[in-house]
Amino acid sequence: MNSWGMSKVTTDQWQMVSGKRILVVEDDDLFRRSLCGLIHSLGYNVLPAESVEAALKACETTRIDLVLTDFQLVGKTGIDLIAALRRSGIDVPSIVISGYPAEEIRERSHGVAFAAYIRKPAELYRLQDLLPDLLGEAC
Amino acid sequence: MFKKCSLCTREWSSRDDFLNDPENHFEGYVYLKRRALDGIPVEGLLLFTHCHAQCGTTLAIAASRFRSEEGRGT
Repeated sequence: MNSWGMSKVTTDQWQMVSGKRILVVEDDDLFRRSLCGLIHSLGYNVLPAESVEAALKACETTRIDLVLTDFQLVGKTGIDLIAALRRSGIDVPSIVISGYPAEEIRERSHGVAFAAYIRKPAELYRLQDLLPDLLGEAC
Repeated sequence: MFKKCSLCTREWSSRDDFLNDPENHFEGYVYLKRRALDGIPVEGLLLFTHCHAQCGTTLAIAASRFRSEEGRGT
C-alpha cells in the first residue's frame, strides 16, 4: 500500500480495465512491460508472457482475443506459439513483431499464417490502428 | 551487471562493455509507456538486436541508462 492508499500493481497483474484481452509475448522483460503499458493505455486487457511455454500455460486458464508475439523467443519462435495455439483450438488474430525484415519472417514462418507483421521499433505506432482493426472494433 | 540477454543469457558488465560489443546492433528509440501503472518511470527505450549466431533477440534498455555526466554543465 503506498501513501495514496493504493496497492502497488505489478506488471503481471495488468489484466483488468475492460474489453478484449491481448496476449503479449516478449522475452525482454523491460520491452514486454513497455508493450503491456502501451496496450493497456489503448484500453485493452493484457496477458503478459515471457516464453512460448508460459504463454500456452496462461491460455489454459485465460481467454484471449489476440496474440502479439515477438518472433525470436527462448528456444522457439512466435510462429511456433501461433501454431501451438491453433492446435489447442485457439484461433485468434495474431501479430508478429520483430527486428527482422518482413520477408525473412514470412520465409521462416513455414506457411503458418498471421494477420500482421510489425517491425521493431519503427512500426510500433501501427498497433494503435491494427488492434481495433483485427479485433473488429474499427469505426 | 548492465544487461543480460534474455535469449542466450550473455551478460554485459557495464555500459561500455555493451556498447563496445559489435554484435549489438542499434535499432532505434521507442517511447511506448503511456501510463506508469506499476511505479516504473515513464521513459524511452533504446532497442538493439543481439546479432549473435545463436541469438538474434531484441535487447531493450532504458535511455536514461546511457546518460553521460559529461557535457551536462554545472
